[in-house]
Amino acid sequence: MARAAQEKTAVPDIPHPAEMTVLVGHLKAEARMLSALRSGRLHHAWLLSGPEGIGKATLAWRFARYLLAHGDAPPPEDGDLQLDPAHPVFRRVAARAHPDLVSVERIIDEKTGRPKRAIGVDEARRILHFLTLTPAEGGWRVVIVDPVDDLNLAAANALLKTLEEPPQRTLFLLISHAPGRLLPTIRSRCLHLPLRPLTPAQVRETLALLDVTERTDAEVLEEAIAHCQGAPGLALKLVTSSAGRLFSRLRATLDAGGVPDRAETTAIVQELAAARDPHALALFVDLLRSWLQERAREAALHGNAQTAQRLARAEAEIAHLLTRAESLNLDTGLVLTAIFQDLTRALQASPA
Amino acid sequence: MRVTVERNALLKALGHVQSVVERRTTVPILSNVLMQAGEEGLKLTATDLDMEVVEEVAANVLEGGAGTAPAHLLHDIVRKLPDGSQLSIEQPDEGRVAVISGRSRFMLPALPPEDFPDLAAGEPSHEFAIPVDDLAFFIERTKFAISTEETRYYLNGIYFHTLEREDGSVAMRAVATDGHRLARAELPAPEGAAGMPGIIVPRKAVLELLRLLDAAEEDVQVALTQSKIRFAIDGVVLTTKLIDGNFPDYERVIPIDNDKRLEVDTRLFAQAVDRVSTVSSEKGRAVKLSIESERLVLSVNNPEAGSAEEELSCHYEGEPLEIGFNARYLLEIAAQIESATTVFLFSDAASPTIMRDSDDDRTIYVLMPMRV
Repeated sequence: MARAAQEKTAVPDIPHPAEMTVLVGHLKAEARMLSALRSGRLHHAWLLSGPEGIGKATLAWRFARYLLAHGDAPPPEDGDLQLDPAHPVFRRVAARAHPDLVSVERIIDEKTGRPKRAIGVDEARRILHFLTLTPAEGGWRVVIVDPVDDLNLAAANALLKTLEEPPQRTLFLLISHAPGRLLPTIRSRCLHLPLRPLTPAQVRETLALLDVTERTDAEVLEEAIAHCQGAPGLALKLVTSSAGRLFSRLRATLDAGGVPDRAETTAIVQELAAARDPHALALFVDLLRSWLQERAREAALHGNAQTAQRLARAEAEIAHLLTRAESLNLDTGLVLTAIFQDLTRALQASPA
Repeated sequence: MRVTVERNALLKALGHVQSVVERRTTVPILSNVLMQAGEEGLKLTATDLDMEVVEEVAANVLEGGAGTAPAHLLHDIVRKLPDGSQLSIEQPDEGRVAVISGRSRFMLPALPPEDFPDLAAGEPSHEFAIPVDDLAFFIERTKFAISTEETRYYLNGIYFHTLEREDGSVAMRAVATDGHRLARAELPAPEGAAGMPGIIVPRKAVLELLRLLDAAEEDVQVALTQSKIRFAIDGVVLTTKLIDGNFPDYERVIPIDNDKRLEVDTRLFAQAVDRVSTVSSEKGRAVKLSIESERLVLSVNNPEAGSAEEELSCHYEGEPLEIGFNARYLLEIAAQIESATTVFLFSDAASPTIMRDSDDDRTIYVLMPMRV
């Protein structure tokens, strides 16, 4: 049951990529997959990279389903990778019960109820075990790692061995939010397929297809589309998580050039701590960090080097604080309070 | 779906299929058993994605259809129902399965049958029938030597293959090894098996198969596809993936010119090994065999726990020899030997040794010595 409660599904209303029927954009990437199938020379490992929430995993699962359902027979010229959700392969893949597919993702720690910090070697071994057995349907076997950035060193090395000597008719689909940080040895085995963020129109289309539009307040929706950086995954989190709402309140103050006062930050700390949702805290801090990055970049472009440096440093400090807090399992409220202190210091020192 | 079925028949079938269902699975549908009601009765299927067990139960089908329910739960419920009672299984709606017997009524959560994995497809390349005793012989004689070391995954099962003997007949062999010992069993190949590719049947499937063979009477129907093997045993069908690897060329490690022949009473030998190894260290477990004409001395010397020695009479004509073996390995092989006398064939203290049954040449065991 632990794997059923994965990170991706933990935010309500967002289907796991294994169940996702909607994909908007990434036509070029899909075309490359189709042409690889047509050429009859399918590379054994693909690295799908790009910002979080833009549909990398959705595309990977789509590719996997197509290959499991149709094999590597050349697809028709005008075809795509879409598979009917009623197709037996779609059903089994969505239930994680396809005997020729294994996926490794971050799982929820049963003791703490939080997602584990990394994908460990035990998870990687599931891949190795899977590959020691023949494919049940005699065709392709598919391995999905989402994201490959989360593999710890031992797990990455275990995976590396099979990437170097892949068994026949095996497709690895590795998803990465930060391909630059991967082991070069892993990166060099893969066909790199960088995916780009979607346009606001594409994000809007995605949300409409997922029936989010009707169920969401128009203003909240527009705000989410404007601030999701082309990632429908993030837009969905913004509309469903309390963190999105809280941050948009804070952003109003910040964008006006103000410094949040104690009453405001205390209210946020209380609400987030009360939510008891580790995702909400992570999302809130992510939003804050990308706001700081954005402002720092702007300041730098306007020749305001000092401000840029100060903001960038605050961002880095917050990131550091969060990592340490996670490893020490500190109290959410205290962590946030400390983060706000950093923020306030950085903002007060900068000329308005 | 609406069927009525006899409790004992259902319990027996559930007992077979539920044993492949893992207790702790992360995929909800895999803890369920698939029930399909058709003209022939009620078909039960369970799987762990590596293998699948299917069994049909005679049932009175009032309404065809399919459903799934938690396998262990269902097994526990049926087990507690009174002996010989009739029970009815129906599906009031998509999300539930009802089990009703007499005044007992259970409502179990169900998952859609369309989500249930399917391991059965595939056109067989080879089909043959093998007597239950033969298949059980292959497995029982070799399974103790299967490796559990995951890095050499191609040793994590029993290797079955056929070969032509010198007299032109075709034999089937089962081989298992973990690098320290090897077991090889050979029988005449069943008709239709000649020319089949060598396959490695995974350990878990082998053990499951052995359990099913326990109560079987009719010949086992075996079908081999490109990547799977299927065994039909008295109405129970086990299908398993195979190990995707090449079994090493084991013939190279079986010595052919070991000329020092020792004959010893199997039971006395095993009992003596068991006794002297009491003082051996947990790690080493080495037993030294000192052999001279008509006399075999087993000894263990453990600086921490003391030493032990036992003398046995034997039949031996070669030069005196001292050689060490792992006691557990000696015992496991001795347990396979049914006749009163065990034959050892040695070359020297550092070379692989052959152990075999004095009046059964269908099996042969190879054991690597230990330094003592």
